Formats: sequence, C-alpha cells, structure tokens
Amino acid sequence: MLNTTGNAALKVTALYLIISLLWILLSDRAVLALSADARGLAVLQTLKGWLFVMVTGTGLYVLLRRSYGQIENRLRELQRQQAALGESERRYRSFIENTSEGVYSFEPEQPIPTGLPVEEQVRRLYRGRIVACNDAMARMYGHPRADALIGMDLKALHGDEVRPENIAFLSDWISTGYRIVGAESQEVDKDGNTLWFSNNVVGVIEDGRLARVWGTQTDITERRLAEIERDRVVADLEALNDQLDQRVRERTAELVAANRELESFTYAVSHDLRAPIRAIHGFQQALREDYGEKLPQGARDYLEEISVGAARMNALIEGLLELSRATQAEVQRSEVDLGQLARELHAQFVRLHPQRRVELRLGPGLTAVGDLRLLRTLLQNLLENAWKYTAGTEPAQIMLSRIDSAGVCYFCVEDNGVGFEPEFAHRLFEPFQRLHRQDEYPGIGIGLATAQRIVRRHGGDIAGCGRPYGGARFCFTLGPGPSEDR
Amino acid sequence: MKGGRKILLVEDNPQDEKLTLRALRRINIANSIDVVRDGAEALDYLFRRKAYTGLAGQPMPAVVLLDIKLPKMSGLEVLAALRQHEPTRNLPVVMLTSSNEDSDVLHSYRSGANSYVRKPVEAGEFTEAVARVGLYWMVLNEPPRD
Repeated sequence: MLNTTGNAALKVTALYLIISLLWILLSDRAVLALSADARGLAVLQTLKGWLFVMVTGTGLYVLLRRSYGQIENRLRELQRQQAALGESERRYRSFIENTSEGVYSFEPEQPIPTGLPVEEQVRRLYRGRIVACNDAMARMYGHPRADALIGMDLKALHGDEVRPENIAFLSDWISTGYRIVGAESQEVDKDGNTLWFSNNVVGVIEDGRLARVWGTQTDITERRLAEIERDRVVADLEALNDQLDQRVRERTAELVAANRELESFTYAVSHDLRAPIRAIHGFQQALREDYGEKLPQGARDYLEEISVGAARMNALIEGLLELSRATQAEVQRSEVDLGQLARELHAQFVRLHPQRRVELRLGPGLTAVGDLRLLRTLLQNLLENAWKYTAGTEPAQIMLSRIDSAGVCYFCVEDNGVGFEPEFAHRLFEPFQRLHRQDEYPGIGIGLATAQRIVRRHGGDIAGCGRPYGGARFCFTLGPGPSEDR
Repeated sequence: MKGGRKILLVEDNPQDEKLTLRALRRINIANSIDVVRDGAEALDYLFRRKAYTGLAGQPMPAVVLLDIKLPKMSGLEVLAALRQHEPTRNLPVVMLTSSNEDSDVLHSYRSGANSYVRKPVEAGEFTEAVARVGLYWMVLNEPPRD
C-alpha cells in the first residue's frame, strides 16, 4: 500500500517536472515569436505566468481532491472493520467466559526445547504457570474468579504432589506431538479434595521450543467417584464370592469326610454285626441239632424265638445296608429295560415262594435311563411289597406300566392287595415306619425309604396311593427323560 | 483226602471258628484242619517260619479259607503276599467272609483268590456252605503238586 502511494506520488511529480521543463523551454520561444516589442513581451509574459499558475493550480486541485477522497474511504473502511473485530472478540470472550469447560493458557518459565528427554520436559512443565483462564476453570478449583488461578504453577494445581497418572498424561501428551484429547489428570481443589479432569491440550511450538500451551478441561470427578464406588462394590462382591467359594469348598470337604466315615461305618456294620448274629443263629441251631432230643418242647420253642429274633436283626442290618448303598453309590446311567428286570425279580420270588400264584403284567415302553443296580433294588423293593401285600388276594395281580403326563414319564407298580389308609401315605417313605402290624405282614419298614432315596438320587420322585383293601399304586419318575439326558 | 493234606482256616472270630469246625466235623474232615488267628500268623504258617519252622517239608494245605477282616494284616494283604512267593503262588485260596461288598469281591479276585464265599448268617445255610466248600476242596479238587 505504501509502495503504491510512493509510486503514484513519484509519477505525478515526474510529470510536473517534465511539463514545467517543456513549458520553460518552449513558452518563451512562443512569446518571442508572437511579439517583438518590449511592452507586448511583458504583457505576454504576464499572461503566460497566469496561465501556468492556473493550469498547475487546477491540476493540484484535482489530484488533492482525489487523494483525500481515497484516504477518507480507507478510514471509513478501517472503522467498520474495527467495529466488526470488536464484536467478534466480545462474542469469543463471552463464549469462553460462559462455557462450562475450563479454558486456559499456560506458559513454561522459558520455552522448552522439544528435543529434551520427556522426563526433563515434564519436570520443567511443572514449574510453568497459568497465564490466562476463564472463571469456569477457576471455579473447578474452588476459586470464584479467574484471577485467583492466574500465576499459579502446575505443581500447585496438581496438589503439590507428583502423581504417576499425571506424569503419564503429560508424557503421553509430549510423545504424541503436544496434542492430546480426552486424557485424564488427577488434581486437587483449594480445599484439598481430589478432582479428576478430562483434558484436551495443544502445545504451541516456536523454533523447536514449546512456547505456550492451550487447553480445555472438563470435571469428570463425579463419574470417576461413581466408577471407584462401582469398582469397590465389585471387589466386595468378588471377595464375598471367594468367601462363599471357600465355604463351599470347606463344606464339601466336610461332606466328603462324613461320607467316607459313613462308608467305613457301613463296611464295619456289614462285617462286624453279621458275625454275632451268625453266632446266635449258629449255636441255637447247633444246640437244637446236637442236643435236641434232650431238650423239653418249651426249650425248643425258645430256641425258635431266638432264631426268629436273629433273623429279624439280620433283615434290619441288610435293610440298613441297602438304604446306605442307595445313598452312597454313584449313579451310572444307562438304558435299563424295567420290564426285563421285573420279569427276573418275579421269577426269583416265584422260586422263593412256590406256593403263591401271582400274575405279573407289563405295559409297553418300559425302557428307562438310570443306574442298573439301583433300579434293580428299587423294583425289588416295590415288587416285593406288592408280592407281600397281595398274600390274601385271589387272584393276585401286579402291574408295571408307564404313564406319560404333561411331558413327564411315570413308571407305576400297582397291585390289587390289601392297600393302605391314604391319610398315612406320607409316612410310607420314612425309614422303619410301617402301616401294617408285624403279625399280619412282617417287614422292617426300610424298603420304601430305600426306593425313595434311589429315585431322588436319579433326580426323580415317588408317590404312593392306596385305600384299605383296594390295592396300592406307587408311581416314580427318574429325573430328566432319555432325550434330555444325553 | 488228597495225600493227607490239610485245610488252613484263617479266622480271628472264635465263634465263627467253632461254627466252621462244627460244620466240617459233620462231614468228617474236622481233624485235618489247622487254625491260625491273624494274617501275620497265616503267613508264618504258610512260609514255614517263626513258630511254624517245624512244618518244613510238609505238604502245603489243600486250601486256605481266608477271612478278609483280620487283625494285623487283612486277608487281601495275606493273599497278595502269598501270590508273590513261589511256594504259595498256586495255593488254592477261598475268601470266606462276612462282607458282600462288591469292592471286596473284586479286590479278592484281582489279588488272585480262587473263590469267594460269603458266610451266610442263617445257621443252616452257614453249615451247608462250609460243608460244601470243605468237600469240594478236600475231595473233588486236585491241588497243584508242591
């Protein structure tokens, strides 16, 4: 602009010089040619002088007028621009002052060469100070106005304490080219409360040195506190979980130990309790066989009672062992034909009681999934009962069938025997509970308890229904059916 | 009788011993029975050592009736020891015991028992079982030559 003005002035001056020189050189000759006398010459000279002054005066007027006009326009333009600039700055200032984010400018003591090791740069940054910030920034630290924060060094903002997470944040910022978005810092307010900020920071590099830093920050303390609280709750839950796990492990170990004890007890019972019964039985028999003729009838009757007592004791022990085995044995599932099992058991009963006539009827679909040995014991107990309680019925019938209802498969053993009173049905499955008198139907009351344990070990259940002299029916399930089981 | 061979009964319960002897007496083989009362003594008898060195040179018993639950050494341990020694490797051993646990039956056969008989509790059955075992091993069975 200045240059063009200079050039224009030079051009005008040069033109004036050339025209003036030509005027001086040529005008006198023209005057001399027009008049020879001195008077006329003087008049012409005066006229020529007037003409020159008028022409140059007019030129000067035109030029000045144009220049002033231009200057005035330029001034008006400048004033307009200045007004717009002021408006824009007011808008920005109000934006910065009213935003909820903290906005600041920060300067190190001396510009920091970017070639220094990162740790050294961080060390120097800590001595830098806030040079400008908004009120929102000051309020974040508990101060009402920005001036309180201006001049404060970074160390003070970070709580006079070098925290590893802040070192990490600054190191990251340096290594990513002095530009970072959403980096977290941990600082303190003026009352010493810990604050967390999310930072956007840009460094201004001049001649390979970090001259100043611009940044904005958002207070995320509430979110971080919630996260910390959540982490604490999760940790508490995990600890509680571990405790529970530990307790379950302990209980399991205790249970395993108790089971082992029970097993060895069962073993001892099976071996040691049988021996004295065998002795009672054996010597009673020996007495009868070896000295029978010398004993009066009364003594022989007593020997018979001893024999019955010993047999009953033996049955009790066997029953207990069966019950214990039903509880202890591992359930090994396979496909079992209950119909086939029932036929085998029935044949066995027929051999033991050849005088009885009992008909066994089998329905279709009697394949179950369960432990063969346990299912044999289960059926043995149910069929034995049916066999026993049909002793007074003619013709005696036992039926094993399958009923599918609501997606559940029931197997039922039904007889037409003496039945039982339904109000006592719930007591059927308690060990040593009986609904019939010993002299009517002998037994020890352990068979149905064993049966119940067996179906429960399979994840199923058993129920009985009957009425006096109307037969009895026992239905059981064996947990998940064959399809879901595999 | 097979060349005057004996039965060795290993039994710690005196009542079972008496009943067993009585059952064998009834079939007239009671006087060819020796009785020892624990597992260690059974091995002394069969290996002819300690109190039983005097038996050296005598033939091995026709059969050993071995209880499982014995003081000092269990019947199963005795059986295992017998099967590890050449002179007793083929000796007929019948487990005669109160236990009817599957695991005991399985262990017995795995350890080399020739037979497993459960002592019945009922007196008649017990006498019958012992008599049958005695007759079979003393009369019918051909034992290995020493």
